[in-house]
Amino acid sequence: MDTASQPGELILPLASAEPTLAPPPNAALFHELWLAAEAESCALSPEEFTAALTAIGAKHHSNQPPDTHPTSAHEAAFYRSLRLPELALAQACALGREPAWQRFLSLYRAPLTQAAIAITSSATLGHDLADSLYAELYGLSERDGQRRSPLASYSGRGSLLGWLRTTLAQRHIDHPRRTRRETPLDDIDAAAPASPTAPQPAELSRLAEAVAHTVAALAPEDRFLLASYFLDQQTLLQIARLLQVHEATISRRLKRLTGDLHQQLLRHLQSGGLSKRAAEEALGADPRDLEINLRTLLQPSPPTPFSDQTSSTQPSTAPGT
Amino acid sequence: MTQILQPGQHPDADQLSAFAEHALPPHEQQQLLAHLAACSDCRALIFLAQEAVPAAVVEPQPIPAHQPWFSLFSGWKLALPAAAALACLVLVTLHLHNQAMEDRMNAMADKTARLEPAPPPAPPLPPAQPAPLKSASAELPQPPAIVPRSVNGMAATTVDNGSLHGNAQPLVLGGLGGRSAAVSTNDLKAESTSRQSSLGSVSAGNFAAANSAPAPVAPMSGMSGPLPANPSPQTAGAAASDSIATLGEEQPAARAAAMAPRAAPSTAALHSLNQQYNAPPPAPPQQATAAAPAAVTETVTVNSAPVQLETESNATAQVISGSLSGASFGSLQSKARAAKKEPALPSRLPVVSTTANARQQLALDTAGALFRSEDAGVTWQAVPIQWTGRALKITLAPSSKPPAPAKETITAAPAAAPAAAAKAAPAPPQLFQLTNDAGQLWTSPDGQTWTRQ
Repeated sequence: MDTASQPGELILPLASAEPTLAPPPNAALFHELWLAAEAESCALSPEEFTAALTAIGAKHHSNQPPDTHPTSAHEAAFYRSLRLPELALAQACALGREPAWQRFLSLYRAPLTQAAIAITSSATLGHDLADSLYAELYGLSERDGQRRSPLASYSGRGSLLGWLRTTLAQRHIDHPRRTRRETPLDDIDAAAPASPTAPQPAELSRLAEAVAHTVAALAPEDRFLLASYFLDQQTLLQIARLLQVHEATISRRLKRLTGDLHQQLLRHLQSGGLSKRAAEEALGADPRDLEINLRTLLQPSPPTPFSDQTSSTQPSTAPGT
Repeated sequence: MTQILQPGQHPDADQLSAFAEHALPPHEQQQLLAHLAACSDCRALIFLAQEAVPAAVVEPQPIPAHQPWFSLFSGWKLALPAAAALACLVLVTLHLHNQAMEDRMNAMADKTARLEPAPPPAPPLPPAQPAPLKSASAELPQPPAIVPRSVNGMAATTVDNGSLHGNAQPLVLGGLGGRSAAVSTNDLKAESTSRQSSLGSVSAGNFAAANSAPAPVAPMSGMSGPLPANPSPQTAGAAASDSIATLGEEQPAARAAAMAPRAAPSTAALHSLNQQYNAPPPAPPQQATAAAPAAVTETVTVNSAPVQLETESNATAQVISGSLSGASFGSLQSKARAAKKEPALPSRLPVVSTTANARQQLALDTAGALFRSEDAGVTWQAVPIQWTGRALKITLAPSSKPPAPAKETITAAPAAAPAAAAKAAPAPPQLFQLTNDAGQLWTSPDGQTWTRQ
């Protein structure tokens, strides 16, 4: 598995769009979109822009659920909802067009450096991170004789600056993982082997089972809130900024969620044969007596480096391949 | 799961950034949220990317703060309610002022209307006093209001803040000329135009009293109707100066006084005032006929109530009230006095007859019921009927028959023994006497038990 591959990365040929592509039926729409994207100023031809739009529409199913077939109206609406100028700029930069790069640098160099400094909390590390991303975005790496640029994976659904920030955060997280093997073993504090667990009382076993069942039954958003607040120790403000709600809303939802969890646990324990008093006593047990790993309950998937995740999907998402 | 977000895979940067910007479709948003709930790395990644976002971009919209209540009155907004309140205050003040003036005018009109039944015209007075003037009015009449008119004259010439409170009692003043001018205080609008009206009416008084005091002649000379409601001081002054011209040139002081009505009272004027005040009792209103050569008889009739004139000089203030002693006025006064003393009986009927001795007071109403009071008319008790017929009159029995022992004691006491007089029994009260419609008399010592005489 190529460690240099990036999630959602598109593999684009260095040359222009292949002439073998059949002209789409709604050529007028694509031409209109090409004009609206000001792609000509980025030295991006209409055919190249049309190929990119078609690939993005096919990849994201025109924002329609997978069990529905998107109509031409859906596709047109999807294309019109994209950030066309930024998409044209990203596609042109991925193709190595010099005017596009000049424009990209003039528009995004300073914000990208500031975002890198904010992510790394260091000016030096931030500049290093931003420079390394520039090199990667420019497509210095080649694969199978083809220049590869992460900018080709930008779909235009979000802002290009947001995409750059997320990519910076990815690279910042991936860096220690890639260099993990270079870390001396002395610095690693190996965990002690787990002692054989003593048999639990029946009440505690029932409680662990009830917790696992109740957490698994939670809605995705509720589990996200619980995991972000209790496991990741994120603040209410950070969660609120991500979900674009007020932090008081997050606080109320968390309070209501914990109350509902308590009630559901009580009901589950009572349905398992415990009396109400016994269920309440079981809920009052010391959490240290429970062998419950909430992290494993809330996040069953093991963390893996991002660079190892999407390589298998690349051929299917790359247009023209 | 879509082909983008396969099980065991992670979303790419494009999806994460679109999720952070809420640009994903709902189904993909839920998928990504479910993945984020289970994937700590993706949560860490997305939270880390959010830290690089400037706070102003994704900062949730703050809840708009409520405007404080007093912000409604800030700036020019305060001027509107203030102006409205001021306007309301001015309107209310004007309304109250007008209402008070109207009430006062109505009260004066009522009082005037009550006293409106004018007495029969008084016979003209014969020439009463020798005129010190050499003018045409050799013999001037002396109406009953001579004293106040003299004072009025003094006030007109010297008083600073003279004011006339006319009460619509007819007053006939003898004048110099033959023309007549009836002046009523109704037309003077009384107090509302007090200063100018008083100037005019006071000058009228001077006009009548010109024989005794060098005073300006009234501005009514030449007038044949009521005075204007609001004569200006200049008009009054001009009229006065005209009158002075008719009086002759021997009264420079009077001319000066007329020309300077606000001057301090002079010694001569005070002397004349005293003379007038010590004049003989006032005669009934009369109409003077001038006996002067080439006289122009001028009768000035002023309907005036008991004239009360308040005069204030620089140093002293005198309030001189004069009342006319005409027959009609006297009867009015007696009626008013009687009305004041008329008791309010429990039967609420008018009192026909009433009398009182030292202890009790009896009253007889129009229905013939007799009432008795021992507290000077505060409370009344009905007396049971012990007489025949209808009671018509209640009086005190003639005092020609007092109890003999008491009389003797009283007559003997001063000479013989003063101590014995002190010890003597008090004289019994006078008997009450009741007369019925048959002319029979009934007597009672206490008003409670009655015996026929």
